[in-house]
Amino acid sequence: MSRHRINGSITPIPARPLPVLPQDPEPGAPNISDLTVAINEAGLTILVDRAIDHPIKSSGSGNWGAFSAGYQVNLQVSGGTIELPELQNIYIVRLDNVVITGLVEFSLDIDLSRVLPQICIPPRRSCIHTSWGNVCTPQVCISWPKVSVPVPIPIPPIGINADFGIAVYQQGNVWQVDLRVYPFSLYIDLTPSVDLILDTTKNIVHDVLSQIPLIGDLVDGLVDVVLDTLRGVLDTILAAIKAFMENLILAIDLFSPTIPYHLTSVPVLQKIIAAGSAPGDREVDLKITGLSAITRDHELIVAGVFAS
Amino acid sequence: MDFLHSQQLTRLDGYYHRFMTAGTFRWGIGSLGAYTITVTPPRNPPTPEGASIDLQYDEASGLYVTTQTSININQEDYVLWHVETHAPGAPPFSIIGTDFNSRELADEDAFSHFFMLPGVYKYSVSGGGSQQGSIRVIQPMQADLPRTAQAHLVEISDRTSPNPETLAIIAGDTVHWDIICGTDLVIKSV
Repeated sequence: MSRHRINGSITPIPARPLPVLPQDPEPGAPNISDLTVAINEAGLTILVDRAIDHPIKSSGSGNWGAFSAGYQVNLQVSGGTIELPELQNIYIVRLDNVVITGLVEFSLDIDLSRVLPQICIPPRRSCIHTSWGNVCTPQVCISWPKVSVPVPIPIPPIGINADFGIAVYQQGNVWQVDLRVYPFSLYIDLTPSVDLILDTTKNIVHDVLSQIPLIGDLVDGLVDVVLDTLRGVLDTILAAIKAFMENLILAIDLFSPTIPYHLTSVPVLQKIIAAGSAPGDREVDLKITGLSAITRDHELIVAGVFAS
Repeated sequence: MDFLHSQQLTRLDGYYHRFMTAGTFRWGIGSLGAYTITVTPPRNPPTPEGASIDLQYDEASGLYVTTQTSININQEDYVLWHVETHAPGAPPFSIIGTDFNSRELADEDAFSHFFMLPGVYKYSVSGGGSQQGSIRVIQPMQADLPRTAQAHLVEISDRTSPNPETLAIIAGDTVHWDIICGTDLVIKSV
């Protein structure tokens, strides 16, 4: 199975034929097929687990005025159980209890000179009487530094349940059987990290400003200015990280609405070997003219019909 | 402790020169350049004033620059050079003119330093002799804040000790060393 992920983005794949959804046999009609393959829920669970059970690591960044943020997302996807529910006239493969956990190594850079007002000492130039007359000394204005605030953000477990349709279609000399995910919602809540980010920022900015001489009585007020400004953009920053994580998760082939998960393929031409070795016994090629896939009795059943 | 050295000017320092004769004077930053100060006869009646030349450090080129490449003043006016902006890593600088030089303080020159950090700053005045003085900088009392920063005057001569020889100031104040008499003087920490 090929990967189509580059730097956390999804590369579209070429369009494929629309899936041919399997049809139930006509009521009362004989259910006849020449070729049948079945796989049960446990077997499908193993296949799907192999597709999703691996670490995801990617990084991104962005700028929001005086703030710039870098974030490295480390996720681990695990679990997942396949169920094949018995539904009326529709065949669904259901994946339950996938759990995503991880950590975002978040780093917030703040250009304090774009947040804090200019402060010059003395606010007005001080003057002195000399033999030259009155001489005024220069002011010294504070050069606000840039501050980097690293905040590791743990990601609480994210549960994913998804339903898949079964797509069967002929592609050249093979029949393909794919799973195609139905759109599902992904709930990622980063709001619990807001207080952590604000508290860490407050402590680091306070420490940095406290090292600047002569502004000791101003530090608390200046820290409040930084936090107020940060509050104004923090939701936007977290929304960007959330969207980045969603894209990462949806870039897993199994969950991608644009990348079908290829379950199996069946060659159109089936070679039937002679049962005996008598003269006249020979290999026979049979062509599969139709293939269907349904779920029944907790099994995924793929049935083919040979040309008559 | 602050860095105190009249030959190595930083953003905390000021270099002053009073122009007592009319004419056009060239000056530059670090070496004699093409910037000019044109001095015309004194006002009537004489009312000396000060002009300020602001320097900026350009990080891209690694050079100090100014937009005040040519200014006009009157006789007995003084010019103050200082760095208006601060960039981390900006090197010390000096002002070199046709008959004035911040590296060799003389009559009609002055040097100032803004003291940000408390401590005792002992300094020497080298050149004609080797006098010493000290500045004691104390932290302002919280109860006194906000306070208006002060400027303090120390007169320097190559023949006598600084006047006053010791001075107590509060962090945030500026000391102004006025060269009363002497040539090739350097004020620096010891």
